[in-house]
Amino acid sequence: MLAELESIVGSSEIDHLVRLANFLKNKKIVHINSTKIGGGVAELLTNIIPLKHELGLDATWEIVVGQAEFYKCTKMFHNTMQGMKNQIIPDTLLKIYEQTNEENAQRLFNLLNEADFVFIHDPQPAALIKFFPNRKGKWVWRCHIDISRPNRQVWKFLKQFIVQYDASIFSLVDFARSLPHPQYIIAPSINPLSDKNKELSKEEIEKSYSEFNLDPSRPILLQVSRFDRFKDPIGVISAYKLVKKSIPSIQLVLAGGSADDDPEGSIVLEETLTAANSDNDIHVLSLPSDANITINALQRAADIVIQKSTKEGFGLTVTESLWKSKPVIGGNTGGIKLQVIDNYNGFLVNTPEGAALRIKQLLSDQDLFKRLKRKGKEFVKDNFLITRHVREYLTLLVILQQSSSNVVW
Amino acid sequence: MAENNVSPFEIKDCSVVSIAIGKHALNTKELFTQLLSVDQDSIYYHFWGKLLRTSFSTPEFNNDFAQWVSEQIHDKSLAERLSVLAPQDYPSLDELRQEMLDIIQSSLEQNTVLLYTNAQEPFYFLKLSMVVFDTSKIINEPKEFANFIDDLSYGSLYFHFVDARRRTKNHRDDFSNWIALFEGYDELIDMIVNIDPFFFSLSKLKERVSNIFRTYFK
Repeated sequence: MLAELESIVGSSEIDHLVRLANFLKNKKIVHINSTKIGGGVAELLTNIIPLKHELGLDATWEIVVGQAEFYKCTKMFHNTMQGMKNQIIPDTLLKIYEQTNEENAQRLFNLLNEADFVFIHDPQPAALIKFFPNRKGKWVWRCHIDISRPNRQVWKFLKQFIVQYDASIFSLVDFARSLPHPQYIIAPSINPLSDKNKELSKEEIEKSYSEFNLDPSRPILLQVSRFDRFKDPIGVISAYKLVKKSIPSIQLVLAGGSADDDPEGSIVLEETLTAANSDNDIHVLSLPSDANITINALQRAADIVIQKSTKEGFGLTVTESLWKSKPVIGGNTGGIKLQVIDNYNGFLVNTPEGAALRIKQLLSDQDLFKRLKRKGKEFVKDNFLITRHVREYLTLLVILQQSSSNVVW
Repeated sequence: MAENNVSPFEIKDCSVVSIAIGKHALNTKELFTQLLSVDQDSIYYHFWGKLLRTSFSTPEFNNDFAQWVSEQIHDKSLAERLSVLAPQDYPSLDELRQEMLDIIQSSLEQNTVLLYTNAQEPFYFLKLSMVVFDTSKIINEPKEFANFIDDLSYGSLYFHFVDARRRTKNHRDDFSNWIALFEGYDELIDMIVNIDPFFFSLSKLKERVSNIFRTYFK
């Protein structure tokens, strides 16, 4: 992996990673989240852990597990922390959340208590720290979601755990909160060598046309994301319908998988199918969570990629599509703002009408279309590849190890 | 020891990560107030940090304050006045801070609308945390730079050519300071010192520094 990455990012970047990793030799690093399958966090860890191993680091990845009520509670955290209103989490669910964390703490006790560094991803395992009063290592809370305007009641509940960490990491400065420890800003990344992003043959891309009954001679608009209300699949269908009036040949693909920790996915999928209303040019695809090559092929087959989220921690599908030289129309929110630069590699929009306008503009103006396509890949190479991400993680660990904001070796 | 009993130049590398410092401004008045007390490291970050962080490669203005005033407050005049500030022209970051405060205060006095213009996106103050480490690579004589700069990592270039300006007494880069320990390189030193890193990306800066060494030693 390192040798292949070197051919993309250059030898000095890899040398840099090796040197940083050398400072962390023999240190035990543990990452904890709530699912190994589905969603951006699982995907990031799937890529990052093997790279850390190649760098000679002792990194492991574990998950917290719970019953349906635990996931119901953490999905409510997810919704309310991202600003969904009028949702009150019952005390009974909050108790189940703490109990589940306690059970997982018992199961993982030796590993976590002795680890030199523990990364806790998102709210699901955040309460684990409460059960490690004599922990040996530094604990970091890595928040992947947009908590710029959290529900106050829920944030107050979670904050009692978050304040105990040695540091937090947010994808955007806008998400940082008032906390008594350093808050680092580290954007996520993609692995250009993974099944989701590697180069595909023409045959592999063309297979997606026949597999999903798509017509390659007509424009294809694609959104790839879990079926989640914040991803606004209904808004995408509204935008498509507005475009369809003047460009009847357009086809829409809404491709999504599910995540083990998301109990609402099937409900939103049903709502999306209802909104599609049996339109033969709307293809709603519920893909298995390991359909990475299929998603890769769809992204390469598409003319325009849309990610019309109304809240988004980062939105890895945006970077994935830019890497494949696709112009992206993104919701003007969260991490998408970091990736889509208006009129440079895509457009930021606030409404289905705005999205429809930009889709029509891109399909009508070939010069604009080509210009935006060209910029995407270069932009990702400079900013959002896994090597930059791991470099920043390792830098943070070296800093935490020395308990100083600047370290000279 | 190298020629002239000068110790070899030890190439360092650095890696950085951004930290939110919990301060933000929603309008020009708040920007002024926060600037009065914000950590010097944050001022440094918003002038130089653009070179090493995730960002759009060619923003209209070359420091974060000017860019925000232009994009969010829509005051091009103030943005231009802030953007012309070159940090290396000031003996200290505190003097740079004072100059910024003067410029913003004078704008607020002349244009009272600024007092009521709120940004859609706040200005968030950040700072850098840096790890510096040895690369175990050394330079014994100035002419070795000619074949060396192209292989330098961006971290090394940043550390020796940009960050050096706040570490060294004469606010110059490490390369020219080390070469000055040898005799007969005044012309080369002038050429290096005359590069203003403030207007380049690190890739452009590398190209420029490399060209100077290659041309001089060809």
